[in-house]
Amino acid sequence: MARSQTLHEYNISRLNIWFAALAVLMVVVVVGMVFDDYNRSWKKYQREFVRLEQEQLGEARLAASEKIKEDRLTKAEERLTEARTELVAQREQLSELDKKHIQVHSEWYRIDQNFRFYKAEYDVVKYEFAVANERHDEAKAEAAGVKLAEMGLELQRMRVAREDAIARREAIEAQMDELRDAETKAQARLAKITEDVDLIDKRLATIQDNWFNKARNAAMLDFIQPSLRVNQILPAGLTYDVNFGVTDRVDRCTTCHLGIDNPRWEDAPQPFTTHPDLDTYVAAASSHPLTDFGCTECHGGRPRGVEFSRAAHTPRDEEQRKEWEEKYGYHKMHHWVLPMLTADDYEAGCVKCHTGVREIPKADTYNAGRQLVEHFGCQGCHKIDGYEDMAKTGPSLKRIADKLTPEFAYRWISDPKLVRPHSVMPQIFHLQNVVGGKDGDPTYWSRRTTAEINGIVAYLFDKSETTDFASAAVPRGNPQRGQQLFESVGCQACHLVAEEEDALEVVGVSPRQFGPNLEAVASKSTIAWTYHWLKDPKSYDPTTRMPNMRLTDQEASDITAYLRTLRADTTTPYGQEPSDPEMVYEILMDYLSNTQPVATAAAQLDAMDERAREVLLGERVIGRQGCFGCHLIEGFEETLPIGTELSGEGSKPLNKFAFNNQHGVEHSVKAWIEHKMLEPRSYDEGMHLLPLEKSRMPRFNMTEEQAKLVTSNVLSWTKHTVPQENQRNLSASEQQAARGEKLVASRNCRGCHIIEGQGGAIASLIEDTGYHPPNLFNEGAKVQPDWLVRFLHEVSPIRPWLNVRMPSFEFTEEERGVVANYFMAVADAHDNPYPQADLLTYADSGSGSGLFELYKCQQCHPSGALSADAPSASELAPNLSLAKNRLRPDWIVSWLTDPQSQMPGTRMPNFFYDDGEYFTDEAPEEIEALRDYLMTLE
Amino acid sequence: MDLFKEQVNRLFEPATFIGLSTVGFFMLVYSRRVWSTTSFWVGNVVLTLFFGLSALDPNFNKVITKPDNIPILIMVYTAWWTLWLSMNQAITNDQRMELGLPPDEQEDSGKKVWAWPDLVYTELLAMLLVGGLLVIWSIFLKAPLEEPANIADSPNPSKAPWYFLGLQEMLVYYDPWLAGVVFPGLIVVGLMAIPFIDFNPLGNGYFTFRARKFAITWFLFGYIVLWVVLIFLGTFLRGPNWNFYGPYEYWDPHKLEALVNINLSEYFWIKWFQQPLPSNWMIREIPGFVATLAYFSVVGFVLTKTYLKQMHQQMTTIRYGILMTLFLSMMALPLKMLLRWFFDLKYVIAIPEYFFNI
Repeated sequence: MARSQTLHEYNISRLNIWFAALAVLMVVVVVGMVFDDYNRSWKKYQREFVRLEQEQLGEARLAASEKIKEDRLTKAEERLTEARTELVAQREQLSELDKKHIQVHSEWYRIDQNFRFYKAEYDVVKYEFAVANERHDEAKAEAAGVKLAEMGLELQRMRVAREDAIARREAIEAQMDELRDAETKAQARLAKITEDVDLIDKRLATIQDNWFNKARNAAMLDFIQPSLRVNQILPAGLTYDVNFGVTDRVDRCTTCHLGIDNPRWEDAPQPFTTHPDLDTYVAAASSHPLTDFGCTECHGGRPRGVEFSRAAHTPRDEEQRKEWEEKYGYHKMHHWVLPMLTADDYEAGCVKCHTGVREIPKADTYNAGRQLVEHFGCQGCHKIDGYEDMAKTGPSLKRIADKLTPEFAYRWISDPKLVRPHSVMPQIFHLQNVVGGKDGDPTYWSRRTTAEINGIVAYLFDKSETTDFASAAVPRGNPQRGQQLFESVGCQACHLVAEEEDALEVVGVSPRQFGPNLEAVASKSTIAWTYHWLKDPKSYDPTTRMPNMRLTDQEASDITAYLRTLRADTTTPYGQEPSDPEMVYEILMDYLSNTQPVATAAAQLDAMDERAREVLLGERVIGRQGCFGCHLIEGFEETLPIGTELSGEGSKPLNKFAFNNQHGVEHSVKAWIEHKMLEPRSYDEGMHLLPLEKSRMPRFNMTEEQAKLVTSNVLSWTKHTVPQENQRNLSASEQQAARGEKLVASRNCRGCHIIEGQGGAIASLIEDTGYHPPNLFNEGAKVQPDWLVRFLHEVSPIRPWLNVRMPSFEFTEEERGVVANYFMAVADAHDNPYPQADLLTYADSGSGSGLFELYKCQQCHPSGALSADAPSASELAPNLSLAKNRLRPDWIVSWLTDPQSQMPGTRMPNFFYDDGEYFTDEAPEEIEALRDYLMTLE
Repeated sequence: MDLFKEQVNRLFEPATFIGLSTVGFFMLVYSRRVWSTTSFWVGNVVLTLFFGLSALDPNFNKVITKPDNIPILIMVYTAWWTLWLSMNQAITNDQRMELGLPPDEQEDSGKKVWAWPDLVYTELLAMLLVGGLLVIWSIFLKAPLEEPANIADSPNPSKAPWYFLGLQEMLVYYDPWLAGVVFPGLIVVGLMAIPFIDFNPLGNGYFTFRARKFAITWFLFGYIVLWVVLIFLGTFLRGPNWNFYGPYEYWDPHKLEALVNINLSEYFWIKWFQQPLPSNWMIREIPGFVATLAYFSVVGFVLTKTYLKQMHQQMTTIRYGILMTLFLSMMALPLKMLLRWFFDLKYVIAIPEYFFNI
């Protein structure tokens, strides 16, 4: 080589040192890269799980081996040894058989192969035959036909030979089995004894820390068949919306939540803990098996995430967030729109599939939230999917002049809660963003508010129709009797009085909160109105949900007298003052110049007198505040509600919520909504807004608990949808049940009756259970639908001794049908009460009549005047002459057989049957005879 | 401190920042002393002090530590390094030639080195070093991938890849067909045309500044001010809604800026002549057409008599015309910026009827 050191541009030995150093760097970097890729956080959990499982299995193995009875084990082992010794004695015979078996088997192998090869050739000729015919090559076809016939015979012969070989082989095998029989049985017996331990050993072997498991989980090798790996579930049909398309939902949660479906991990630490409700979720036999539903469809979060933060876990509160930050380096996934729901709101995930129903079984938080949303009437101002066609929350104001004085209306609108602290009506004025001064005028908002409220009052009274209520005379009533009636006829099923409401222990809404709280009612409405309202509510307001209690004039005037005693001090800081005409003008200019030129607006106003301006102002303010969302108001019957649509609110991205200056509010959708519920106007703070730009959301005085429940419900309103076939689709009868449920809720049937195990709210006020309104358990299977429809149309009391009255609801024909169908649907009853024709003959009514006397049915079921030995009124039962048209014959049979099964807690004694046995052999016939008699009794 | 930060924020507003960058750029290019070894280090220290101290500010820190923005940081340094290296060499050569010496590179020109090991070995070493650094980078700064695009939750600010931020900044001043199609096209065409326009043999094979003042100055102006500075601006100073944010300012997505601009035709007809806009767009836009034509012809012509007198004499008219078209197109960007900043000018020519706006 002619190269010399001096010819080089660089010092080569120094380059070599550089090379060495860089090579080392590269190796270190590559190792680091592999390690970084290998060292995934989920592996830590899987290793920990394996360790815990080893421990658990070790303990289980110990317990299982302790269970094995020592003597049985030794006996089984001895027997096995014995069998084996015996086998040794027959060694020669066995080896002889073995040889024969090998010979026969090889013979079979050869024959079988020949057969299959020949069969292949046969099939080729078959094909040739078909082709020749297709080409009309008759000569060829004929030759092939002849060949096929020959070959067919040969094939048949070969088949017989093959079967013969198999038979011979099986005969030898049978002989061998016979010789080995004792050993096989002894072995099976032993295996049976050690079964549990063996099973554990088998599982242990797969998770042992042996070289095999270590090697397959080693870096660079773990692509083949590792035991530590990402677990994933692909629930069929469920998708994940990637905005411009959908992909399959892939849930990887079980990569770390390894014990989720195994009850043995109940007490294990997270993330291994068992799902708390395996009866309903996750378990294969539950209604929501893991493989069909996955995790994130209900819980939210990022399905594919396998790292703590990247799974979009959501901390319960600030404290937990801090804990997570320390423990897991937690940070929020900013790009994930639907983070995991926290424990308080899990049920918000249910409604995606459980659509079309008011209540979801077991989802207590959701149901309570929904009740509250309906109670406060959120749907009055906001369009919400699933809350359509609901009755307005407040009363109609079309005839307000008959009911109230303008002075009272003014006070009420100023702040309803000051007049009636338990009113559902929210506060609209004097809230934080509409008080104080403006542009250096310290009295601006107080003057403006006065003018606006005066305007509303002026509009309402101006448009109010009047009836003759006001002038009609009201008979004098007795307040004591009135109170008795109030407390007995059933008013309290829907109405509470004053502080009574605070004593209710209820999550969500009690049926007793259905109607308005009646505190201060005397200060509110006039005597004449109260009296006529009680007598016939619908004549005043055809849309009201208040039913007709069929009160006599005297009763109505007594209750009126009692209600007049419910007076409270209604002097509030807001007495009616006249409006400042300049202010009225100014506000109207605000409104009018929004939609028309200032000059036109001014001209319009200048042409009006002061009263007309006030009325116009009222119309504008009502339109802006959306009073018509809850009240029927003349001129606003068709106006669209004022609030934002909330149908997708739960899935709205966080950055669409303006927190403005509310720095104390945690940065989450949930916290934003919750704060809005409690302090609806607070987001206006520190913003420069013109009067008409300010927030209009009224203040409901919700408790924190209520705000949480409502918020949880709002979170369930998402745009995320589940394919129809994956939803909980209602059957025809479930749909009828759902329709009926809505009606039952809208008329508050549960105020009095227990329906589907819920309700009967009024019962708590009636001590004697004999006076409770009837429990409607299994009602659909009990009564004839025709009778129910007739009964709802024209109520005729079944139990005249009850003080509580079934009101007349004045249902439409359709609604009556809905009720009847509802009860049949929930009781799973057929709509034909006479399923068998022979029931209509009532052959045994004669002997039934005797039994009727014998069992003294009429003692408790009086048909006319009470007999001398009649029990007290509370022990009475319905008149049996009603049975014919009212009850289903097959129900009477079940009822007489075992009353408790038909109506838990009934006082009806068991005459024929108890504890799974009839008292006499004749009992079944007697029951049928009684039924026949009842069905003919006039 | 807050007051100081506010001042710095103001300093970085587009008008001042680009203006100061331009002034600074010319001072750099025309001052020989800047290209000494000392000032290389001074430059590095100044940059490091700026980024290091600014990183103490939480708002600036948030922006600068985003994985997407690390390359820009590196780019700021490397732009300085490469610029310094070439200019330093050019100044050295200029000084040598003043003394009658050949340029530095001449001494090397006769020299030959071995492909192996001198070339290939060092290339290998460089490969190893860069490869290792890239892997380390990728381990510690994960790729800033986000979730699938979501129309309900689009990122704000929506930014182009860092190397296109100069183009995106251009979109503030020009319509997409110009800023996104014509100008980028002209950049590519112009770069390809340079060898055909620039026939100056001086500087072949060695760095020199004095012999190529026009070429180097205006190339670097295009590269440093109109590309690197705009990328810096787009990365660190443009926040939500592409609003300007000072380096120490919080990126408030609700920030509002009054962006009320008007067209030249409105200036002309309404403001100066106090009459309504002509209904015919051809008449309406006459001032715009005149201004644009004048810009391309008159400026080019004036330059032949003044700044580029000598150059024009050495060139054919066609070649000069092409050079001017490219040069004036490039200068149209800073010019429009100035017009926007000082006169709120929206469009010189505005024909919304045909989506044609300049």
